[in-house]
Amino acid sequence: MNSTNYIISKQCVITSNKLFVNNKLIDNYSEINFNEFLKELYHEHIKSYPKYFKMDNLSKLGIIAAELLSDEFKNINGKNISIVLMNSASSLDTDNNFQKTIMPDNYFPSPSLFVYTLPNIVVGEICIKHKIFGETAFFISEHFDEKLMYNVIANVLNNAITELVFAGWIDVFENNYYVNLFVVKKNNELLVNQNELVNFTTENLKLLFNKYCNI
Amino acid sequence: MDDRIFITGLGIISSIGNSVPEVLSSLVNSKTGVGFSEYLNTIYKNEIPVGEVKFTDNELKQLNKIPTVQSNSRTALLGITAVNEALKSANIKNVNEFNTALISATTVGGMDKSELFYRDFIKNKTKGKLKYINTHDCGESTQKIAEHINLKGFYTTISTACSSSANSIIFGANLIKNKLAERVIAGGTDALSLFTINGFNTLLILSRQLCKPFDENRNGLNIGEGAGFVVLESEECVKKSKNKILAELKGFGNACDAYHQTASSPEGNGAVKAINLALETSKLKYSDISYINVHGTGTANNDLSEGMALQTVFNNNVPLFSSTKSLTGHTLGAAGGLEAVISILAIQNNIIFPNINFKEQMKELKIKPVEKIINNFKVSNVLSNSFGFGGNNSSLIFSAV
Amino acid sequence: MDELVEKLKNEIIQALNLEDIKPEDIDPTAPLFIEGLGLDSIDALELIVLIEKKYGIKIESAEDGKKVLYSVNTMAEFIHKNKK
Repeated sequence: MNSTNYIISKQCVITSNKLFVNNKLIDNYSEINFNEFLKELYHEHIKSYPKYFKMDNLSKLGIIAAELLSDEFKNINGKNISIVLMNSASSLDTDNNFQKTIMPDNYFPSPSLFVYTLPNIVVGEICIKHKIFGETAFFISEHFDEKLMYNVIANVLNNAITELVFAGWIDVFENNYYVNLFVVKKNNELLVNQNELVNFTTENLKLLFNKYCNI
Repeated sequence: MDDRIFITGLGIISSIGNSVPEVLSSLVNSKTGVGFSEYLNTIYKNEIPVGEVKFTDNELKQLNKIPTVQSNSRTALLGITAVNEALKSANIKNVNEFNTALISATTVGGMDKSELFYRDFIKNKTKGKLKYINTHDCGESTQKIAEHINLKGFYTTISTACSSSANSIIFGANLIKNKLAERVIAGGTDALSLFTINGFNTLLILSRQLCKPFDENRNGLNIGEGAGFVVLESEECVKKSKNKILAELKGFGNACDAYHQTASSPEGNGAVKAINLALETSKLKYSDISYINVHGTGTANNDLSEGMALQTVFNNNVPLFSSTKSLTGHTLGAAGGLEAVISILAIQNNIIFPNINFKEQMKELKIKPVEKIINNFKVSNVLSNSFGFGGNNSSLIFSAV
Repeated sequence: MDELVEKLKNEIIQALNLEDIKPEDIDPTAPLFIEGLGLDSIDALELIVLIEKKYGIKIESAEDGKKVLYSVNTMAEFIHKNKK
């Protein structure tokens, strides 16, 4: 497969109330809880998108990460951008919350919760905000599968239409979450910051994923 | 990457039949599988019609020679049943003979069991049967299928709402095209659950009657359950396996509607893109499409959006189309797989299946679905649409060989 | 009635996660959908659940919902008329 010209041009990691972009620590909110952290991130990075507050935590995390990476794709036609995400919990966090609204003795099914009981809604939210119309996919895997990720991204970039793929792992259940999203694109620009760019290979995907796992 | 992808096996279980021959017979006789539930114990038992598979979990276990004590979600049991049939139909005795992958898809996973656990657990943390939750994860049903068929190859799970199993087939095809597999068992499975019935009901899109896709007076969908799998083989693999080719996967496309979490754009933009992509990759002309198995859920939103999309893509020459969800119900994550099997049955038998319950054409559209079965119609190329929440739109094209 | 309108405003803000919106910001005569607060179809469904949960009144169809949910005032009038 021809992938020698693809690069991982930017990475955003959100873990333990910290947010990193390309190794740089951008946010560190160790004193507050997860939900307050999500609010802080909104006020700092999104600011005027009230729909954010109707989203579930999986979608909020995806929207924040997408925003931090959006410089990479803001000048690319939406139909040439694809999204490939993966996690192990699917939408369990919201499934759990929805389940609480259909208890026999407290029966008030919540439509706004039900809407988020599918893992790929986070993809939909990112596409709506950034007007992305390309191919999208969501895989469920017990652990981050760098081989699968590599193959899917390479395949999608190999077709002439897609110029950029926004991909990675985004998992949350209650207060446990790990987000490691990145942008892979065709390398036809002049490389300005050589240090921050990584060649798109299976090994590098694994390295970039594991780097932040124990923070 | 011009390898052809052939389908050599089919497996299906649904409310209209527990095997390919049964499903075909129901389709041919316009026999619906939708009605009030017999097995699922919901407060809506006598109010909301569903497309239920006519087997209990234990009967499904017996059918597949699985010990009753083994924990299995209903989703996994349906999947195992359909995959077993697909392997048999493709004459596969040793699933590891060629580099074979399994790509399954589901949205419900083991929720049908977890929700039973939860009700006891939330009141008292010492209660609740643990065996109900170890089958919860979406990936668990895929793993159970893989273990049941002794697969040593790669397997994974896709979960993209109602386009899930269509995406399994697309992903399977891509694995073959990129020489990462020679053969792929691809499709999906979803069981009925209280979770989905209550969830869809709260969105006010469940009809209290038999659904009427593409009808002016449609008022919602009927949820169904089932599993549908196809066996995909590369050209080279078919030469080696000497399996009978049932059809070809000629083209496919996936695109994002990017409009709303659960509603489709009024013009069906995502659908237009997906259909056009499928046509482009198939290299067929618009006029080559003999029949469209539409997504056609029977909701106000989908049918209008999809109808607009069809008119946009095909101009004034929209091919014959029908929604078989009028017979099977909307099987959510399994829909793409089930309808792939049904599309291939249309090709094999030269039949255009009916869109039952249709009475009145939608005012906004110039087109209406096929109301009664059409026999002896040369079905050369079928377009199958599956559009999911999250704006995930997929279209597949199957062709006669 | 005014009390009900105020109560409703608070309940709406909470049920729909309208961060940064205070009850004073909501004009009870203004349309809730498209203009005004710009609520969408899922918000409408959630308001239907709210009315059932807090006031015990069931709205069965989207059509009925549209009329009742036009503005905070129409919601209050409906609740006042039908409250059990």
